[in-house]
Amino acid sequence: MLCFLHTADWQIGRSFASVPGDAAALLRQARIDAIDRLAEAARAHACPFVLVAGDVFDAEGLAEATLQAPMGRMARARDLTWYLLPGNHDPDRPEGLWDRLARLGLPDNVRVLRAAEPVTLGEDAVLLPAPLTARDHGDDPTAWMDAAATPEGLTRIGVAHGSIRDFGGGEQSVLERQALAPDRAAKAGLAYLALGDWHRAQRVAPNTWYSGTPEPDRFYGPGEPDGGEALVVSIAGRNAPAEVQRVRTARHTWASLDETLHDADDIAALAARIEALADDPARLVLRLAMRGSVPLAVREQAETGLQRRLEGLQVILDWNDDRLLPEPTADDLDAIDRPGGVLRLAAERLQALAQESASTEAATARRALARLYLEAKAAQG
Amino acid sequence: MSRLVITDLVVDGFRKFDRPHRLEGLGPGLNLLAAPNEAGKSTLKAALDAALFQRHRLSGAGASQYVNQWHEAPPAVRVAFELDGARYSLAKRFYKQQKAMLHRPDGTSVEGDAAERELQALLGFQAPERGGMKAELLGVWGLLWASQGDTIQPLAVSETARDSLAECLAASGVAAVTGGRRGSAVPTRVRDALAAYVTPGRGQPTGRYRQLLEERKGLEQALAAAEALQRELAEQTQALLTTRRDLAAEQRGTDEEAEAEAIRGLRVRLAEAQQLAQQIENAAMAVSLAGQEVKVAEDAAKRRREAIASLDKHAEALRKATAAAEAAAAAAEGHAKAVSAAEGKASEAGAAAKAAKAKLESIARRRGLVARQTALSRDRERLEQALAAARESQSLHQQASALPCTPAEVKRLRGLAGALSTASAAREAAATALRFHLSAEGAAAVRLEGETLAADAVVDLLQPARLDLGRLGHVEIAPRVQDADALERGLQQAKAALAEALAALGVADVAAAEAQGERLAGLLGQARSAADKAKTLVPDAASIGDLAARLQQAEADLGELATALDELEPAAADNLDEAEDAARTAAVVADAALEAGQTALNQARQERALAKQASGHASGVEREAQTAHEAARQALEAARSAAADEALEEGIATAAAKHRAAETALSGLKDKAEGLGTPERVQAQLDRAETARTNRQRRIATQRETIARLEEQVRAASAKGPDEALAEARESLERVAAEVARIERDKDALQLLDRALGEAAREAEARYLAPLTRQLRPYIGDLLGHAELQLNEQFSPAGLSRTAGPEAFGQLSAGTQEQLSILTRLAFADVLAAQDRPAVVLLDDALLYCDDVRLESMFGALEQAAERFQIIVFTCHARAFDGLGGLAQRRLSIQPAEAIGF
Repeated sequence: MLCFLHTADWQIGRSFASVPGDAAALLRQARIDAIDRLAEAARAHACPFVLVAGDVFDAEGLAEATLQAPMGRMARARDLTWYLLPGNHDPDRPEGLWDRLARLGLPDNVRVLRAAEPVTLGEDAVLLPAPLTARDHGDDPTAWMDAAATPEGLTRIGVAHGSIRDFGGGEQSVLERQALAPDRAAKAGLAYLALGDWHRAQRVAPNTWYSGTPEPDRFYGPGEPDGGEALVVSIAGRNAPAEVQRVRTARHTWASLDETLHDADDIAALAARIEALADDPARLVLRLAMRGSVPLAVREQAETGLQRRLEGLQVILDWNDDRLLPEPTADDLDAIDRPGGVLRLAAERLQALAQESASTEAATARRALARLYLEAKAAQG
Repeated sequence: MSRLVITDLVVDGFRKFDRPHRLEGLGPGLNLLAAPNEAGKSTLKAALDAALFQRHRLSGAGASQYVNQWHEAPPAVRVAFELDGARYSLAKRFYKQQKAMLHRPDGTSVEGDAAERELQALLGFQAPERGGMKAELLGVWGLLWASQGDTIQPLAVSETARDSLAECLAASGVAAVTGGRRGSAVPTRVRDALAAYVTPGRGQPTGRYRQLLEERKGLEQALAAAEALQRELAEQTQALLTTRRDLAAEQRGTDEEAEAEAIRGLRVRLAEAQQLAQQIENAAMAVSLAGQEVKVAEDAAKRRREAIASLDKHAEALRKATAAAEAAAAAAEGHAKAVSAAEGKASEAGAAAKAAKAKLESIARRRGLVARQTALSRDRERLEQALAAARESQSLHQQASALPCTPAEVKRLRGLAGALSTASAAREAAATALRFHLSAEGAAAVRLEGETLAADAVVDLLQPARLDLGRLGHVEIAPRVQDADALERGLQQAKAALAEALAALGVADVAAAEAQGERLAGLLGQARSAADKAKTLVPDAASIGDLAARLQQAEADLGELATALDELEPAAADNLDEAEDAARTAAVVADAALEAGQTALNQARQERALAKQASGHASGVEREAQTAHEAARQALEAARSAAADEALEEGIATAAAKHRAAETALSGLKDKAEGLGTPERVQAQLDRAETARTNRQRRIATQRETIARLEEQVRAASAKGPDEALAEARESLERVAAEVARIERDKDALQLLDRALGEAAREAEARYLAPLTRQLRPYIGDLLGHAELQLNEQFSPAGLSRTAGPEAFGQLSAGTQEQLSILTRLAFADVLAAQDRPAVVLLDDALLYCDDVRLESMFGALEQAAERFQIIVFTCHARAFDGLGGLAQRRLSIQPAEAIGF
């Protein structure tokens, strides 16, 4: 019984420096820690080796410490053998990072698949890797597998990085897109083809899968999954079909919400939904875009209520309320001031300005109005 | 007319009023109390104030201030007022036996606290539970009643007052303004929030904002640095790979064995080429020499031919030269003859000229002598005359000197005569003059001192004298004369002197002397003129002797001249001029001829000289030609003896053949060389091959070095993690930029809000205060011309805006401030009255600073306002107000009154 863990796209070295607040370090660390969880998963499912299908590293020119960090974690999991495939973010090139790692010294249980030639995998299987080098020009790097000769009786397992042709969508990569044939497994007599490049687990064919990244690293559409999984692949015998099991390895949950608010109830409901997204709010990475025309009171509620609350809970929050337009009601204005009062007059002015859609100041006026509401309320208290 | 009119006020035991007194004359409209300072105006105001606004139960200091220490009874006040025509009466007693009583119009009354409460309700104010009335609770009443000094303070408008006014204004259609805490708190909060982003003054980023901007700048620099690092690494890596590739190519592409073999071959070929080159050189040399020999032979033959030709030429030249020499000699001969002829001619002409000249000279000489003769004659004549004159003069002088009567003598004589005359006159003057006029008889009888007298004799007597009168007697005349003797003596002396002088001179009398003197003078005169004449004629003659000598000389000279003339050629003396002319003409002609002859002679000489020269020259030429010819002949002979003419021709052919042979040999060698290649070319090939080999070896070494160096650099740079640094910098920059954008949005919103609040405040103020300012405008217009009073949101005057510009209240004069305060109060009362609220304005000594003009205007305002509500004015400036007689006003006075009954 052949069993291994299929993972990819670790993107070690991504800085996350654009994430607001201090979450960058956390998110960076999470990626390293994911290796431990992968090791646990592998052990839990009795997988002696782990295939990392490309993009171990997020870039080539990384500091030594960054290169060493994952090596250390992998070294610690001595009972496992880790096979690393150069991808488009970390292609193999002369004097590149794989040369550097080689010079620094790889742990014994870490193998880097730098050549497009079969590698024996224990006694039963042979790996056919399609590493990406700096020289590749868009040819299908898995093409060689079809004619590759391997010892009789060994299960052939392919590992490659790139996008399946005619798949549609996908992420940008550093090099030209490497288009892979979706039916390579069949053509090359592979029991399984382990793919990397897509950051979410995706089945291409029964024996051809993307594992996705073990720790999510970006926002997707509202309600969509965020990745954060690894695949446990079991192949009973030489001609047996591959059985694939998805295992969640993520620490953080990345969620993206685009909400239209109408009133304070909507805010409450939203708050509840958000809290349901993750057990530990500190592990929630949330992009929250709000839209709608709401009374000032509601807007104020959103800001002081929801935003502060979430920040208090240490949610890693990307807050966007640009489209949450203040529509002052009579109550709002009254709350600001009596008719004829100075604050009221100011509010009415701002309201007029906010409604002049042609004016460049309209957006500023909206924000000023919301602020006035806030301050008037605060002064009253 | 407003609802409320105070109609009566009585005080008893209240401060200075120990007896009951009434403020007499109160009624609607303008009420004026003009009373001196200590009359009690302020006390009356205090009483009114106490009655209306203080609780009767007021205790302690509050109440005790009303007490009059001399009066036993506690302070009491009674006020009567009409409210909407209904009459009320209020009485209060303070401090002790406190009481309050309100009598209603319908006759009922109410006491104590109930009375207080009803009063408050009627008048619209609130009283405190305890303690004295507070301005706060008085509300707008506090504004309407102004005491001394209040009017030049800024109006302190309490909140309640403001609210009252606000309510009135609201009721009159203007939206109320929220003043107070919230109104001012929000702008402050906004500004504080803004100050966290930008400095209040210049709007420079501060705090977190500035921090972020700096951070952004830093990150931009870091990003640039990271990009540079990445680029550098890429370049270095590229260079490394390229160099490695080049090295491999280098090492692959060379066969070293073949290379060495080629070099060896080239060396051999080089040696061969060099040898051949040498041979060619030698052969070329041989060709060259042979060629030279040919040339030599040809030259010799040529020279022979030339020599022969030359000899012929010389012979010809000699012939020509000889002929020329002969001709020249002949010519020279001819010229010599010509010269002799010319010489003869010239000497002839010379002689002629000489003769003519001599003739001319002779004539001239004669002329000269004649002239001289004439001159000398004249001289002689002159000399003669002069001599004669000089001699005459001499003789005259002698004659003159014989006369003794020189002018000096004459003068002396005259003097003596004069003296005599003087003495005589003196005697005569002193003398007594007797003038006789005698008859014949008398003359005969009379004797003076015995002397007879003429009939009309005049006698001067100095001495006594006796005059005998014959028979008549005698007279003794005794002149009184002083010094008669002296006078007499003097006379005698003078006479004697004169006589002596005359004798000396040999003249009879003075007249004679004078005559002689004249003659003397005449003689002298003549002598002088003769001497003058002689001087004129011969000015430089020294003496007569000199003249004589000169005359003698002149004679002698004349004699010589005559002789000389005779010796000269006798010429027709009368045709001297003609002869001279002829002689002159002849001289001229002769001179001309002489000149011509001389010129001809010179020319002939010159020509002769030239001809001689030419002849000499020609001879010379001949000689030379001869020499040359001889030399040429000898030379040719010599050469022929050495080599005959034919032998030379043969020599040429021999040399030519030799030359051809050498050339053939050379061309053969050259062909050979072509196949082999020149040593230079072979050398170049060898050099190239060797250089290429050396360079290749060097390149390989360099590449190895470069590779080693680049490897080190690349590894070092990679170790820094440039991609990581770059990504970090970029993303951080994104984050910071996003935060800056957020802050800026926030800041912009705050700034806009701040502006909007400011504008709103101004608008609100304007709106709110519009009715009031409107109200005030006519008053102000009267007083200050075209100006608008600005009230702040506390209803207090903030300033004036005139056409010239705004003026803050504090900057206005005390007088103007005072007036504005009062007018504002009037306006407040107007606002209240318009809403049927009770309003009475009380001004206690409020017009301190008014000049007469303003007072009149203020009074106009007061009068106008008084048509709508009651105004009570207390003043101590009675006189000022006296002048405003025409105004409708009630004159109040303080009169004793009856006691206050409760």
